[in-house]
Amino acid sequence: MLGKLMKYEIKATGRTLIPLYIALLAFAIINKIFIGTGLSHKLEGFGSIPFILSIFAYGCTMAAVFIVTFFVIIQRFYKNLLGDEGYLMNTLPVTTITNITSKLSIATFWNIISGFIAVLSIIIMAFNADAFSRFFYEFFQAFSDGYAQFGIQVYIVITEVIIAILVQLIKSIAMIYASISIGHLFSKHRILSSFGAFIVLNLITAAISSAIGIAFSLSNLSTLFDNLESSWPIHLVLIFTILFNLIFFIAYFIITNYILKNKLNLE
Amino acid sequence: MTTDKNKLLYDSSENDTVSNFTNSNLDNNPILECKNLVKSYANAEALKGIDLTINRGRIVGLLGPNGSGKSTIIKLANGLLTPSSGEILIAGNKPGIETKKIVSYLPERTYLNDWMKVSDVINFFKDFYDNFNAEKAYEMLQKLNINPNDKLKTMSKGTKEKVQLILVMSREADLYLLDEPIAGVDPAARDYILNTIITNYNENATIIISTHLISDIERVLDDVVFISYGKIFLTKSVDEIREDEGKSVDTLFREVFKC
Repeated sequence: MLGKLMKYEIKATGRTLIPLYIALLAFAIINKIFIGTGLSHKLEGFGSIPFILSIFAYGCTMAAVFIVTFFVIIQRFYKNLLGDEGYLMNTLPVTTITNITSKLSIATFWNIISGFIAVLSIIIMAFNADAFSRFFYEFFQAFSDGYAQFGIQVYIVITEVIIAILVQLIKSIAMIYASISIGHLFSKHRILSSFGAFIVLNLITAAISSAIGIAFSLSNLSTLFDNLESSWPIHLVLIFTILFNLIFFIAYFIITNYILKNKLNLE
Repeated sequence: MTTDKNKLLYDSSENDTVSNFTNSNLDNNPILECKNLVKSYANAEALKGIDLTINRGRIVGLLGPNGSGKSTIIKLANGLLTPSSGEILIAGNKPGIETKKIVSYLPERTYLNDWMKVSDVINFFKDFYDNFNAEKAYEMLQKLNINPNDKLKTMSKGTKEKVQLILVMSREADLYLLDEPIAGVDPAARDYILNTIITNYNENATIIISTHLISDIERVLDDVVFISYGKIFLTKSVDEIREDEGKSVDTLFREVFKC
C-alpha cells in the first residue's frame, strides 16, 4: 500500500515541480549560450536586454523552485489529508502511518531533487571544459590527500555529514506536519494555530538544543576538542547532531500520527 | 407520537416473520451500532447520545432536516470525526483499517483531484480497494454518457457527483454510506442511480442513505431513521409506517418536522 500511495503522491506533486525543473534548466542553457558565445559582452545598450531578461528569468525560476517545493510539502499534507481530499485519503484502507510516511518520503525526495537540479543548473551555466577538469582534479586530489593523512576517517566523516543533512531535512518536514496537525486540534482558526504551533515547536527545539549546548560547554568534555590530532571529536559532534535531530523527528512523527489517528475532525 | 429511541431497529425476533431460517454464510451481527454516541463541536452539540442498531441487508433512509446530525453520524462511521463520547461500531469494530475495507462512502462534497481523468480515478480505486469492480464502473459510466477520458476539471458539478456515486457503488462493500447522493443530480439520472443502488448491492449489504429528498427515494427504502437536533426521533420500517400511520414517509416527515 505504501508503494501505491507513493506512486500517486509522485504523480500529484511531479506535475507541478517537473515543469519548473525543466524551465530552470532551459533558462540555464539559454544563459550559457549567451555567456559561452561571448554574446553577452558584445551586446550593448538595448541589445543586452534579452540577456538581462534571461538572467532575471533564471533567478526567478530558481527562487520559484524552492518556494514551490516548500509549498507543495505544506499543501499536499494540509489539502490532501485534512482538506476535502482527506475524505478520500482518510477512508482508504491504509494506516495513518502509511499515509504520513508516503507524504514524508516524497516530500524529502523532491527536496533533494530540487537541490540537485539547482546545482545542476549552476554547473550548466558555469561549464567550461578546462576549468572543470581542473576543478575535478583538485577535488579528487583533496580527497586523496585527506585519505593519505587521515585514512578511511575522511569517508566516514563525509557519510556522517550527508546523513546529518538528510536527518535535518526529514526532521524539518516532520516539524511542519506536526505543526499543521496541532493546528487541526483547534476547532477555529486552524491555519493560524498551525503557525503558532510551528513557532512554539521551534522555540522548544531551540531551547533544548541550547540547554544541551550550554551543559556541554560547561562540562569538561569540551577539552577534548583541544586535541586536534584525533578525528573522533568530529564524529562525536556529527553523531550527536544526527541523534538529536532523529529524536525530534520521531517525536514530531508520533505527534502527527497520534492526532491524525485519534483526533481527526474534518470540517 | 412517542419517541422510541433506544429500541433496537428490527430486532429479528420482533418483525422477521418471513422465516427463522439462518444461512450460515450470512453474518447476523449488526453492521452498524451506535452506543450513546455524542459529538460536540466548539459551540454546539451535534449528536446528543445516539443509540442505533442497523442490521445487514437493509436499505435505510437517514432522514432529518438540515443540521440534524445526519452527516455527523456518517462521518463518525468513517473515522473522519472523533466521537466526543460513546462509540460507533461497524461490524463490531471501531472505525479503522478493517472497517474501511468494507465501507463504501459517498461524502457530500467532491474529494477527487480536478486534474485527474475519470479513468485515473478508477485505477486509483482499483489499486486501493480489493472489492472494487472496474468493469461495473465503466459500464455505469457508459450508461450515463460519461467519457472515462474526460478530466474532472471539465465536468459540471452534477457530473462529478455522478462519477463519485459510480465509484462508490462499484465497490462490493458490506456497508454503503451515501451522504446526500442525489441532491445535485438531475431527475432522469436520479432514477438510473436509484435503480443502480437497489439492483447492484448484494443482499447481505446495507445501504444507508442520508437525504431530505424523501419522495424521490422512498420507494427504495426498507427502513427509516428520523433524526432531529442530534437525537433519534423514530426508527421504523417503511411498511410499518404505511400500516400504522397510513401515510407515506414523505407525509410523515413533513408532519413531524413541520416548521
